[in-house]
Amino acid sequence: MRRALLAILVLGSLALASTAFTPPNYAVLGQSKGPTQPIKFSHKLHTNKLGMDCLYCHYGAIKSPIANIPAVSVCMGCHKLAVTDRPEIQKLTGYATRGEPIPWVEVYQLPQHVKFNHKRHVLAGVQCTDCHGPVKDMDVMYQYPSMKMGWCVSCHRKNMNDPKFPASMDCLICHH
Amino acid sequence: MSDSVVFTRRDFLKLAGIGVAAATSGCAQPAEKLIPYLVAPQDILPGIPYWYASTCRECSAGCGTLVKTREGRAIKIEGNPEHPVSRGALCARGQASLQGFYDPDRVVAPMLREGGAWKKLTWDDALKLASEKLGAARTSGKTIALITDHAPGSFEGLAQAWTAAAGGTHLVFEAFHPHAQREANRRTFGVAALPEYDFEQANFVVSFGGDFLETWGSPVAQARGFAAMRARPEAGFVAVEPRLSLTGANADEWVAVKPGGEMAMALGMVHVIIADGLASNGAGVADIVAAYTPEAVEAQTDVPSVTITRLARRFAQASPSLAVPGGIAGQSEQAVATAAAVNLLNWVVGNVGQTVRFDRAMNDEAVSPFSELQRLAESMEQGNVAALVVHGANPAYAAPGWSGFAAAAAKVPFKLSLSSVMDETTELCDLVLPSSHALESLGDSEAVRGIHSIQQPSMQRLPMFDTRPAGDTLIALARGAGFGAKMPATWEEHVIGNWKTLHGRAGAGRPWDVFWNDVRRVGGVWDEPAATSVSWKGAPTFAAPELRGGGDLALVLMPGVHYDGRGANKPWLQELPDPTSKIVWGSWVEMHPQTAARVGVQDGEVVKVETEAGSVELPVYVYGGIRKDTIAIPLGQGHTAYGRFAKGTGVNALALLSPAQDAASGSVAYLSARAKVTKSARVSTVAMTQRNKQQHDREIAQVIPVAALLAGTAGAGHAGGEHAAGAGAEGATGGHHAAPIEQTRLGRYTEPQQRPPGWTPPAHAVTAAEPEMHVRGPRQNPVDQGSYAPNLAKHRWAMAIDLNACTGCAACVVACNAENNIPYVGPELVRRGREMMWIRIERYDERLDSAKHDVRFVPMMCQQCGDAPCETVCPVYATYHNPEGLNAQVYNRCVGTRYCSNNCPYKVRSFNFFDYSAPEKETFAFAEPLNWQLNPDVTVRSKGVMEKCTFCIQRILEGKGNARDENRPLRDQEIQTACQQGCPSRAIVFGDLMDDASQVSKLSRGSDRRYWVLNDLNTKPAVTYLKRIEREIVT
Amino acid sequence: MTTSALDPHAVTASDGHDPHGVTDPAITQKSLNADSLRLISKPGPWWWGIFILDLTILAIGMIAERNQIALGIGVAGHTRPVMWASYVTNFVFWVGIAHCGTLVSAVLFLFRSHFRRSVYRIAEAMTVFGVMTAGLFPIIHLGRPWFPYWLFPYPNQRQLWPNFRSPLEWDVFAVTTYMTVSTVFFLVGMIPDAAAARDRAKSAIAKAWFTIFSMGWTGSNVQWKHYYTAYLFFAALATPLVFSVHSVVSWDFAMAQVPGWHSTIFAPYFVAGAIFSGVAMVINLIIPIRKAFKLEHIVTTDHMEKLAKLVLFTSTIVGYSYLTEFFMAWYGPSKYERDIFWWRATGHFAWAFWIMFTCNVIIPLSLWFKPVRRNMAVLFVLCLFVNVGMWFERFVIIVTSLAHPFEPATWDINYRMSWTEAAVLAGSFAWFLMYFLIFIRVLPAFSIAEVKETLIPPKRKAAA
Repeated sequence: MRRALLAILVLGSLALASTAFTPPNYAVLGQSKGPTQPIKFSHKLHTNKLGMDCLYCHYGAIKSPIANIPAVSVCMGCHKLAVTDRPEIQKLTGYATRGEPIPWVEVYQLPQHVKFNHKRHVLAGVQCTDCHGPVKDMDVMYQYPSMKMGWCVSCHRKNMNDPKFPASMDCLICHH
Repeated sequence: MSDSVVFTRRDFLKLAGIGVAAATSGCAQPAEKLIPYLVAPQDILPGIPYWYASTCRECSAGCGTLVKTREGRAIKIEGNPEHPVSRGALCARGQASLQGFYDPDRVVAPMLREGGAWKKLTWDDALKLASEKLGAARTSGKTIALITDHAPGSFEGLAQAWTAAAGGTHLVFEAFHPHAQREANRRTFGVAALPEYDFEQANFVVSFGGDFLETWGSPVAQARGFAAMRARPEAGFVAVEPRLSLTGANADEWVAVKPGGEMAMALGMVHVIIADGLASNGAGVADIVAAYTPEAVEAQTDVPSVTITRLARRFAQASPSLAVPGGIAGQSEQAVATAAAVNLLNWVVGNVGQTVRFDRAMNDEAVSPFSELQRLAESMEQGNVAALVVHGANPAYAAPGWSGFAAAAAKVPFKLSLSSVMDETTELCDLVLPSSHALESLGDSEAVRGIHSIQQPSMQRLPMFDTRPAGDTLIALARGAGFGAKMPATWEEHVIGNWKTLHGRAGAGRPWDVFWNDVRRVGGVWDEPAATSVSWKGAPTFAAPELRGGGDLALVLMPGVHYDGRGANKPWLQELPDPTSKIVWGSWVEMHPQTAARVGVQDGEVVKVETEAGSVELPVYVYGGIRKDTIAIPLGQGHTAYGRFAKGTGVNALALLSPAQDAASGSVAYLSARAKVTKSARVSTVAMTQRNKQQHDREIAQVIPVAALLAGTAGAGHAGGEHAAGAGAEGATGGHHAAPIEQTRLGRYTEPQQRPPGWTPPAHAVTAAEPEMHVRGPRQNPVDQGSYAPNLAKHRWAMAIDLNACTGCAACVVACNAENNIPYVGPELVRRGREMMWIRIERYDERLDSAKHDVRFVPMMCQQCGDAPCETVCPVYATYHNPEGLNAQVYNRCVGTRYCSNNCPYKVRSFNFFDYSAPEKETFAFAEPLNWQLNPDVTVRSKGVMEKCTFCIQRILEGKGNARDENRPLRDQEIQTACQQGCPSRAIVFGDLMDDASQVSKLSRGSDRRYWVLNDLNTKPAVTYLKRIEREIVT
Repeated sequence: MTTSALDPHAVTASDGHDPHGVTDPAITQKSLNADSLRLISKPGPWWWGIFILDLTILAIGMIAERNQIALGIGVAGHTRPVMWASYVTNFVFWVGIAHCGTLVSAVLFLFRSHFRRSVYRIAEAMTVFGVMTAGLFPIIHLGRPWFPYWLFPYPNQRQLWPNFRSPLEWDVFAVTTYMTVSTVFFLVGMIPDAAAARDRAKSAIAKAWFTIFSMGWTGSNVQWKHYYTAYLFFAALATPLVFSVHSVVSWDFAMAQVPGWHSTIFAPYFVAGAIFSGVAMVINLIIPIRKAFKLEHIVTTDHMEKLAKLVLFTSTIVGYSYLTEFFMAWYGPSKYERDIFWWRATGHFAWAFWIMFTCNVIIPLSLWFKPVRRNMAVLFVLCLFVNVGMWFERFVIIVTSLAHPFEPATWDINYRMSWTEAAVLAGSFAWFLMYFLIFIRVLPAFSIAEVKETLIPPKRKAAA
C-alpha cells in the first residue's frame, strides 16, 4: 500500500518535470477555431490556390516590427476586377465605396509588455509558417502557437548559437 | 504524451497547491479589433517612426524641431540638428509642448457662451454667427481689435492684412518680450532690434540679471554657446543680480547687487574702464559716467568698489568679453536706462560687432509694447471697441491686473477667441472658434531674421478635436463679414504663396517642388547673415529706479519654467522640480535665512506677502542665494482657468504689482514693489523633491580647480582623478568641503566626519579620496570592470556626463519623461516621495554667500553599475545584468519587493505605488488624449512594479537593428539616449566602451576630470562624471 | 546501551521526584489530569467576549489589506528611499516571537532544565501561530501580492528560476522549514496528552478529534520508548533551526549594503533579540491563563521566575549589541556608518530609537531584583514593554537606516505610518490571538505527561 503511494508520487513528479520542459504541441494548445471575421477571407484560397506570397499583402512584415493588415485599397487592387460578383467581394467593395476600413478581428494578441519585432525575425530567415502555422490550409485564420513565453523561449534556445543570426536569450530584447 | 500537454504551468501550480494567484493572473483578453488604413499611405508603415521638421512655438526664440510620429500620432518633439537656432537640442518647455497639444482640457469644438455655460456649436453656425457680429461691428463705426501671440511669419502677415481690411487694430501680445532692450538699442545704437549674443566667442561674461539659460532671449542657443565657452578654463562668468538664479548658479562669482542697482554697477565699470584707459572706444563717454565712481556706486549698490574695479579691469582686458542685459526679474522703471548702461559697457570695450551682433537680430517689429495693450484697454473701457478677437495670447492672465484689461474687455459687445484652450482670456469671450495646434497645422516662422523655418503638420487632426487652422478661420470670418475680398483663398495657399516668393529669392536655382521638399526635409531655409555694423548714438539719461510701497523687502518676480504662464497646463512642467528650490506644482517665496528668522518662519511654512496692490499667501523657501533685503516669487502659476493642471495651482504673483512701468519703452516694471511679509496661519502644502542640499562629504558632485587642472595634478591618471576630488583638492585649494557649515542653507546638519586638517583615513578605510593602491578590489577603471560579458557581447554601453557643461536646466528630465512614458503623480504623492522621474537634477548648495558661492548640479540616473547592488537582492531576477553591461529591469517579472531600491546607493529606482496606467483609477496619469503621446516601444508600467532608466534600451535596439539592416558596424553617436539628445549644452555623451574610438571611451578612460559617484562602494558604475571646472576669483 | 542515555529521566532523583518540576505534594496524578484538561470545555462569556472582539479587529485588518491590494501598496506610508517599513518590521517581529517556543521545548529539553515542562506546550503553540502570522507579511508587503509563488523554484518552460543569491529567497526556505519542523514538534509532543484527553472525552466528536491528535496512542511501553527517542531527535533537529532561521532573517539586512544594515553582528544580535521577545511573549500569554484557570500550582512562580531570568539574560545580550553597533560606527572607517548611527540617535526618528533603548535595555534591568521577578503583575507589564521595545527595534533598524542612505539628495523625505498599516498590524495580533484562543480550548495547553513525571509516583499502601 505505502509502496504504491510512493511509486505514484515519484512517477507523478517525474511526469510533471518532463512535461514542464517539453515544448507543447501547438495544435492542441492554440485555439484551432478562429474568430468569425467581417469578411470570409480565406488565406487558404489566396496562398494555396492562387499561390500568393504572404509579403504581398503583409509587406510590413519585412520592413517594420509590425506586420501590417493590408489596407482596403490593397484588396481592391485586384478585386476591382477579380470575381466582383461574389457576395463576400461585394461586402469588400461595399467597405471600399463607403470609405470605411474593415474591422478585422485580431487573432494574434500580445500583451503590451512584450515587444515582438517581425522584421528582425523575417530577415533572420524565420518562415511565416514557423509561427503562424500551415496558413495554406487555413480557411479561417486561427491562433496556431500557444503564444506563451515558453514557446518563444524554446525556439530562441534552439537558435541561441546560430552562426549567422544567434537568437538572443536576453530578457530585455522583448521586455522593455 | 498527448495527455501530458494538459499540464500547463498553472496546472502544475494547482497540484503544488500554490496556484491560487496564478488562476487570476492569466485571464484572457477580449478580442481586439484591428483597424487597418483605408487607403495605404505611400511609404507610411505601422511600427516605423516618421519625423517631421517643424518649429517650436512655446516662446519667441523659434527653435527648429523634429516631431517624431508613430502610426500617425506625434509622440515626441526633439531639436532639429539642421536648424541654426536649436542645433539639435530643445529646452524643457519646447519638449513639453506636446502635452499642450494633447491637453485633456482642450476646446474640441466651437463653443458659445449662454449665460454662464458653454454650448457646443457646429462650425457653420459658429462662423455664421461670428461673421454677422463682426460685420455689424465693422459697420458700427467702432473698431475691431485682434490680439495674437508672437507668430513671426505668414500668420502675422495674414493678421495684419485681416485687421487692415476689417479697419481694426492688430496687437501682438508677448508679456515677457524685452522691449526695454530693444528700445535701448534704438537709442544707443540706432538699431531697434535685439542682437544675437555670441557666448562662445566671449572670454568673460558679466550678466546683469539676464537669465539667459532659462527664459531670456534664445535659451537653447545661448546654453550651447555658454557651454562651449565654459569648456575653456580661462573663460569666466560673473552674475550681477540680487537673487541667485539658475543662470547665476553657473557663475564663478555672484555679485549680490541691490535690486535695481545693475545700471549703476554697469556704469561704474565703464567709469573704471575709462579711468584706467582700457576703453577701446571711449570717445565722449567719460562725462556720461563721471558721476559713477566706484565709491559712489558702492553706496548705491552695496557692491564693494574693489569688486567693481576688479570686474571692470578683467572685463576690459579679457576681450572679447560680453555684458548681458537683464531679464524680466530685473525689469524696473529704468529698464531702458539699465539696458543702455549695459550697451555702453559692451561698446566701450568693443564687444559690439564681436560678441554682440546685430546681423542675426530677432524678428520682433510686430510685437507691441505693453503701452499699446493699455491703450486698447482704455478704448475698450470707453466703449470704442465693437469686437475683440483673441488668438494664442492670454493678456487676461499674463498682463498685470492694473492694466485693467479683463475689466475693460467686459465692455466689448462681442468677444471672440480663436484659442484652443480655455484660458483666462478665452473665458472672458462669448464665442470660441478653436484653432488647430501648431503640430497639426501648416505654418512658418521667422523668429530670427533670415532664418525662415517651416512649421509642418506632423499629424492628422485627432478625431476628437474639431478644430481648424487659425488662418482659415480668420479668412472665413473676413469672407462672412464682407471684408474678405483681398484675403487669400485658404491659409495653406497663403503660406505656400509666401514660400513661393521666398523661393524666388532663396531658391538657389532649384525648381519649386525640389525647393519645397528640401524645405520640409531640412526645416527651412537660412539666409546668410547680412553684416550690419552699428555705432554709438548717445545715451539716455541714467537714473536709479525707485521701489514703491511701505514694505521693507524688495520684491523680485522671476520667470520660471512656466514662462509667462503658458507652461502651467502641462503636467511634465508642473512636476519638473524647480532648479533652485526643487519645488513642484506650486509657488513659493524665496527668503534669506536671516530674513526668515526675522519673520519667524521655517522652511516650508506659509507666509502672507503684502504690497500696496494686494497680497498672496504662499510657502517659504529659505534660500541663502538671495539678499537679506529681498524676496523672490516665481511667475506663471496661480491660474484661474487654463485646464485642470493649471487651475488653482500656486498663486499669481502679478497681483502684487501696482501700476508701474518703464516710461521709455512702456514695458511693465516687474521690479517695482516693496513687500511686507508676515507669518500666516495656513499650513504648508509644499511639495519638494529634494529637501537636503548638503553633500555631507559624500562627494556626489565634484569640482576640480583650474589650477589643479592646468598644473595637470589630475592628469596623473585615474588615482589622481580621485585625488583631486578628495584630499588632493582640499590640499590644492583650501577646499570646498572646508566651507563653514553655518554658511550653508540648512545649518541644522553637523557633519560628523568633518576632517581636521591633516587627517588621513585609517589604513583599513576605503574612501574615494584614497590612492589606488589602498583601495580594495579593482578600481583602476570601474567602467571596464563588473559582471557584464565582454567575451559574449559586442558592446558595453556607458555614459559620460560633463558637469562643467551641465547647467541644471532639466531639459533631459522632460525628454526622458516623453521617451519612456513616465507618469506624473501630482503634488500629494510627490510630497510623500513618490515621484516617478528616472533622471533627477540634484542640486548641492555648497556655499551660498555672495563672496564665493558654489552651487553644483548633478544629473542622477541609473548608473548601470558593473556590480549592481540591486541585482543580487532581487528574488525573481526582475533586475539582472545583461551581456552588454546594462542593468536590466523586466517590469512584468517584478513582484515589487522593493529590495532593489533599498539597496541602490544612488536611489534612482522609482516604484509604481499606485496604478498610473489604469483608466478606471483616479491615479491615472494619461487621461485621454494624453495617452496618444505614449511611446509604443516602451511598456507602460502597471501597479506595484519597480522601474528605472535602461539607457533607452528601445533606442539601442532600434540602432542595432538599423546597423544590421545595412550590414555595417554601429557608428559612434548613432544611438543617442533621450536625455543626451535633448541636452542644450551637450553635457551627456552615450556610447559603446568596446569601441575605443567612441567619445564615451575617450572621456571615461582619458579625461583628467573624470570621477565616479560613490566610487568607494565599488559598484563600478557605467556612468562617468566629469568634474566641473572650479574657477578661482581673480583678484 | 539502554534507553537510559536517551531517557530524560536519567537525571531525576531515584524516587522519581524531580526537584525542578512541580513539587506541590497536593497534586496527584488524578487532580493533574483534571486541572490540565479543565481548559478543554465549553467556553464561558469571558472567552466569547474576547474572541468576538478579536475577530472584529481581524476583520478591520483584512478590510485594510483588501483596500491595499485594490489600490496599490501606496496606501501604506512608504516613500523613496524608505521602501520597507512596518510590514517588514512586523514580519521580523513575529518570526522573533516564534523563536521562544522551539527554544523552550527543544534547547531547554536538551539542557535538562525541566522547569520547561509546565510551559513548553504554550510556547510551542505560540511558535506555530507566530510563524503563521509572520508568513503573511512577506506577501502583504509585495507590490504585486498575487505573484508570491514566483519566489518558489518550480520547473517551467520559460527557464525562469528564482535568484538564489537573494536573501529574500533564503527567507522562503528558512521560514517554511522552521514552520514544518516546529509544527511537527508541536504535534509529536502532544500525542500522550491528546490520548489522555481522548480517553476522558465524553462526546463522540471530541473523541474523534483527539483520536486524530493521539495518533493511535495506547501508552504501551514500546510506544513510550519510541516516543522519547523521537522526541529527542526532533529536539536535536529543531535546535539548530532556532539559530539558523533568525540568522537568515537578519541577513535580509546584513547582506544589503545599506549603512546601518550592513553589519556582521546582526545574526547573533537578531537571535538574541528573538528569544528576548519570544520569552516575554510567553510570559504575557501564560500569566493570564494560569490566573484565569487557577493553575498557579502547576505553573509555579518558580517557573515564571526562571523565564524572567531568561528575559534578563537576553536583554543584556541585546543591550550589548546596541552598544557594539555604536562603538563600531564610531571606531570604524566608514563615514556613512558614522552618519547613520549619529542620525539614528538624534535625527527625525530619535524618539523611536529611545523607546527601543528604554524598553529593551533599561526597564529589564529591574529584573535583577527577585521581588520584581516573582511579582506576576509587574512581570506582565514589564514583558509588555519588552515586546513594544522589540517591535521598535526592528522599526528603528529598518526605517532609520533606509531614511538616511548614501545619497544625501534623498534625505528628509520621511516615512509616516498610514492607517492601513496600523490596521494590518492590529489585524496581525488579532490573527495570532485567534488561533491561540481556539487552541487553549480544543487541545491540552499544558503537558500532562511530562508534568506527571515530576510527581512522586503513587505507591500502594503496605498491607496491614
